Amino acid sequence: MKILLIEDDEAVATTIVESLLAQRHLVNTAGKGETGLELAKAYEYDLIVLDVGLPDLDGISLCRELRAQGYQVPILLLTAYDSSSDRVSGLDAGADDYLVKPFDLEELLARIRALLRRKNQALSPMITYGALRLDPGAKEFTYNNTLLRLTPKEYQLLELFVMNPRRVFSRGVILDRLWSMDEFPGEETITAHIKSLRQRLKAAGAQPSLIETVYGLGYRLQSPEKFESSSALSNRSDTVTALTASTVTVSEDRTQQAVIAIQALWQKFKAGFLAQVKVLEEVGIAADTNQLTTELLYKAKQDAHKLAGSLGTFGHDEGSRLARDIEILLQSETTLCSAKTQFLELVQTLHQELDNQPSIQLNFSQDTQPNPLHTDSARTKHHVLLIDDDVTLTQQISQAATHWHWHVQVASNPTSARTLLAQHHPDVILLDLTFSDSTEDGLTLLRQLAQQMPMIPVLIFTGRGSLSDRIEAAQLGGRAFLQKPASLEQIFNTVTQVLEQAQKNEAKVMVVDDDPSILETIGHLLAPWGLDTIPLADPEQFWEVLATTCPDVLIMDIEMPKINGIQLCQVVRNDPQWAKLPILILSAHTDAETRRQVFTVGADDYVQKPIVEPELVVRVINRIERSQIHRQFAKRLAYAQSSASIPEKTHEAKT
Amino acid sequence: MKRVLVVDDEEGIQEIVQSCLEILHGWEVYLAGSGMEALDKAEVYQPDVILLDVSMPHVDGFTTLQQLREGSITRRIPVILLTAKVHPLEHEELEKFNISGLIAKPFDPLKLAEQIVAILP
Repeated sequence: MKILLIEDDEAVATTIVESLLAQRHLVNTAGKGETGLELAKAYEYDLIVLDVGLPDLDGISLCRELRAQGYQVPILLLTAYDSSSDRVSGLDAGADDYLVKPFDLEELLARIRALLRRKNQALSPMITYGALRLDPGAKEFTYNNTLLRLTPKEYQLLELFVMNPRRVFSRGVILDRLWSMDEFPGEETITAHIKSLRQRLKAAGAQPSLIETVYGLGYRLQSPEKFESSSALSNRSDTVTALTASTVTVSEDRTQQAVIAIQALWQKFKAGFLAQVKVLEEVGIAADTNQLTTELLYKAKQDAHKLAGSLGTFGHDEGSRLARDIEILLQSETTLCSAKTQFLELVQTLHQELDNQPSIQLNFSQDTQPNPLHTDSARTKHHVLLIDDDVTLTQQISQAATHWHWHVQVASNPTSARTLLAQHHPDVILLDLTFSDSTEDGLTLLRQLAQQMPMIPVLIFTGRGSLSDRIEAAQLGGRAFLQKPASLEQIFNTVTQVLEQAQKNEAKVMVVDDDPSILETIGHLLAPWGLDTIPLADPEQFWEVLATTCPDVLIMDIEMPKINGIQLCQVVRNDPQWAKLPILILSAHTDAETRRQVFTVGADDYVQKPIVEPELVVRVINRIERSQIHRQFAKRLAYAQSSASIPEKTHEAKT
Repeated sequence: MKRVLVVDDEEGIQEIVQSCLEILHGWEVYLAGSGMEALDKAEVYQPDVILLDVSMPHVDGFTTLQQLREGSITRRIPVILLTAKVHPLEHEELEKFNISGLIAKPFDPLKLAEQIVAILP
C-alpha cells in the first residue's frame, strides 16, 4: 500500500517510515502541510497519516481542505495528548481516526491496517483468487497452498493486481504506485518484474497467463471466471442469510468475505494464542518442579481466561472449553498442584487443538443449532470421562473420539478421576472396575458417584462380567454394562444410547399463552436445545397440566383473557410444592411498573415481546441450570437418607 | 447505520468484531484497547453502543463503566458487556450500572450483530 506521511518532527517521521517499510508499505513523507497537500493531489495514495501540529498549514485545515475537494482516501490524525478539541475538530474535518502522541508503534500499525481494510472491504484479510491466496497480515502469497517466495517488489506488484482484480495497470501507473518519487526506474523495469513474477507463479504451478498482458494498455489479473470458485465456504454461506424476523439480513458473499476474514485473523493471531499456551506449559512445568511463583500463576490465570473467551470466537470452540477447564485448575496453587498431570494433559491437548484448522463453518453452521451464546449449554461435543488403566484402549478411544465428536478425558485410577470430576462434570463416564495401580475397586467410585453426581450417567466397561458384578453395578445406578473386549463401534453405540436416555430426561418448559403462534414459536426456539415444551393456550387448565407434567420452567404471558399471568404466578408461588419453580413472564410492556409487579409476585425473570431468540434461550437455560443444581442436591439428599438405612457392604478388590 | 465502539484489550477480538460488523453489515466500528481510551473515544465518537470487555488489565470493565456513567455525554450511551466469566452476572449488577445486556465470550462473530440488535432493537 502507498502511504503519505505528513509530519514535521523528523525523529517521529523516521520511526514511522521504518516500521511502515518493514510492513512492505511504500511511504512518501512531507515535512510541511503545503507539500503534503501537493503530494496528496498529485499522487494516488491508499492512506494519509497526518500530524495536527504542522508549522505552516495545520493538519486539521489540511484535512478539511482535502475533504472539501472530495478527497476520499482515509486520513489518520496524530494529535497531541492534551488537546481534545483537536480530536473533535479533526474528526469533524473529515479524518477517519486519530491517535494520541506519544503512541505505540504497534498500535499505529493496527490502526492503519484497520483503516486500509475499511477503505476497501475486499481488502479484508486472506483474499482468495482461485488457487492464489493473499494473506495481508503475514504479507504472503500462496498458490495451491505453496508459499510463493517473492521479493518485496514482486509482492507489491501481485498485491496491486489482486486488490484490483479487473483493473488494467499501465506501466506508468505501476511505477507511480510502487516506486517512490526519488527512484526513477524506466518502464522496462516493470517488464522485468512482471517476467520474474510470472516465473515465480509458474514455479508454483500457476499458468503464466495468470497475469495477462493487455496489448497496448498494460497488465491485469486474468478474469476471475477462469478460476474455479472457491467451494470450501459454500456450505457456510447459505446459512446466515435466513435470520429471524427483526434482524439484519446478510448477503452470501458478505458472509463468505466475513468467514475469510475470520480465518485470516486466526492465522494472524494464532502465534499470540500459542504464546499464551506456552505460559500455561511453563506453569505446568514450574508446578511439577516446585518452582511456581505467584506472578507466573497470575499471568497464567489471565492467559487462560483470555483464551477461554477468545478461541471460540475464532471457531475453536473446543479450545475455549479446554482453556476454561485449565482456568479452573489455576484457581489456586493448591488446586493446580493436586492435579498436575491433568493440567499438563489439558495444556497439551489445547496446544494440539490450536494446530487444527478452526472449524468456523461447522460450529456455527446451522440456524437450528444452538449458538454459543451460553457457554455451557451450547456444546455439541459430548464430554466423556474414561476411567481405565488400559493405555492402548484409552488411546484408541481418544483417537476415535474426534470423529465421534467427543471430548475425552482419561483417568487411570479412581483417585485421579476424583480430581477430574471435582473440576469438571462430564456428560457420561466409562468406568473400569479394576486398576493395576490402585487397590480401590471401581464399584466404590460408582457408589460415590451415585450419591454425589446422580445426574451423570455411568457406564461400566470392564473385563469382569460375573453376575454379581452386574447386579451390584445396576444396584449402584450404573446405566449400562459393557464387557471387554468390545469393539470401538460397540463402545460408541452404547455410550450414544446412554447419552440419549440421559437427554430424554432433559428439562421441560411449560408455556402458557393464549396466542397459539407464540406457543409454536417458543417450542420451535427451544427444541434445538433439547428442551421439551408443554404448550397451554387455555389458562383454565393450568393447574391440571402443571401437576401432571411437572415442568422445570414455567413461561407465562401477562395478558390473557380471564386469568392473567400475574395472578397465575401468585397462585403457583402460594403452593409450597411449586414455590421454587422458575417462572419467566412474557410481556409487551417494558415500563418500570410492570417489571416491578412481575418481580413482586415472585417471578424470576422477565422476557420482552416480541420474543428475541437468543434472549429467551439464555434466560430459560439460566433458570434451568439453577433449578437443576437444586434438584441434584435434593436427589443426593434423598439418596443419602435411603442408603443410610442399608448396611454398607464391603468390597474386596477382585482381580 | 450503527456505530459501535469495541473495548477489549485483545487485538484479535477487536479485529474480528470490526471485520465482521463492517463486512457483514457496514457498521462503523471504533476500537479501544483500554479503559482510558474507551472513555476518550466514547466522548469523541459518541457511538450508538459500546461493547465492553469486563476483564482488562489496569482499568477493568466495571471501573470504565462507572466512569462512562459519570460523563455527561457518555452516560447515555448503551453498554453491552462482553464477558467470559463462568457465572453470569446477577440482575442487580446489571441494573446498578444500567447495562443493556450481556454477550458471553466466546461469541459467534457472524451472529454478533444479531445479538446486539436483539439487545438494542
